[in-house]
Amino acid sequence: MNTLLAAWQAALAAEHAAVAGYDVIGPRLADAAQVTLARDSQQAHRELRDATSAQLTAAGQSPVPAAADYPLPFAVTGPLNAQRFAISLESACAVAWRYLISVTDASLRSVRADAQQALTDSALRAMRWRRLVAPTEPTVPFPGI
Amino acid sequence: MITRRSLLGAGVVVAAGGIGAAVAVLQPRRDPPAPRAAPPQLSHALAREQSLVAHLDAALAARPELRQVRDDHAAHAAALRRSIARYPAPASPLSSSGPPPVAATTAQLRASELAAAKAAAAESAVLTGADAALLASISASEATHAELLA
Repeated sequence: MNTLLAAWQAALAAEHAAVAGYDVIGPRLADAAQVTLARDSQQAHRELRDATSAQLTAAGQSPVPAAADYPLPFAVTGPLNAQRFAISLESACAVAWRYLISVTDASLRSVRADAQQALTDSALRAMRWRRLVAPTEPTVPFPGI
Repeated sequence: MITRRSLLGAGVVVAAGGIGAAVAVLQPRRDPPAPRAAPPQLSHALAREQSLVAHLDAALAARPELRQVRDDHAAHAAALRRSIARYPAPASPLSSSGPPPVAATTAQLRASELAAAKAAAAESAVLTGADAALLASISASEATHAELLA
């Protein structure tokens, strides 16, 4: 598998992980607005996962399936660490999409445009979660790096 | 006749996805020979970041909560300088003379962030490798600033 296809599959794998991760986050949140944010975020990842999977299939590839299990990076027991977990999921997706940009030739405009949009969307969702965890430091200078 | 097998055998894949009409030819990436001068997109982005820092500096006294946004742009400028310095022949410096900026309104700052995000994405789209990734990340950062200022 060449570098581009490996990066594209890695982005899909990150989207699978995000969809699964929000299943853990939602029940740990108490605030209704945060539950809505989690639900909307998960739906966005679900749609991106499906679109990416379809694009890989159209390209003659076998899209990577979801993993059987996604071990948590830390205990997610309440709202605060659920919010932190959401930030880590969005950051992982941003890293994957930024990497795809770095290995994709500029002539592949649709792949690059989709990856830019996915990177930006994950950065925005991470910022929304970060505002809850660290209101005075909601942004990072280099999402995905 | 071009078959999927022949495309794959040649290391080429045809991707048809998204809205349906888009077809992209994917080839194993080959790094192009290093250009002698830094791409002009990097210099343009650096000038834009320096201008944003100056405008935010002018606004900080009244709105100290903009400090992190200002510092993000300073980090963007520093990273762009490092990227430009990696090329053997640096790009021509852009003129940045002009009157010192006056404090902008929040709406004006938000419009500047949106415009910067769009410009950085467009610059990223025509570059490759680390330069493309840096500008893509800067664009995403500026999109978060715009939402923060909404």
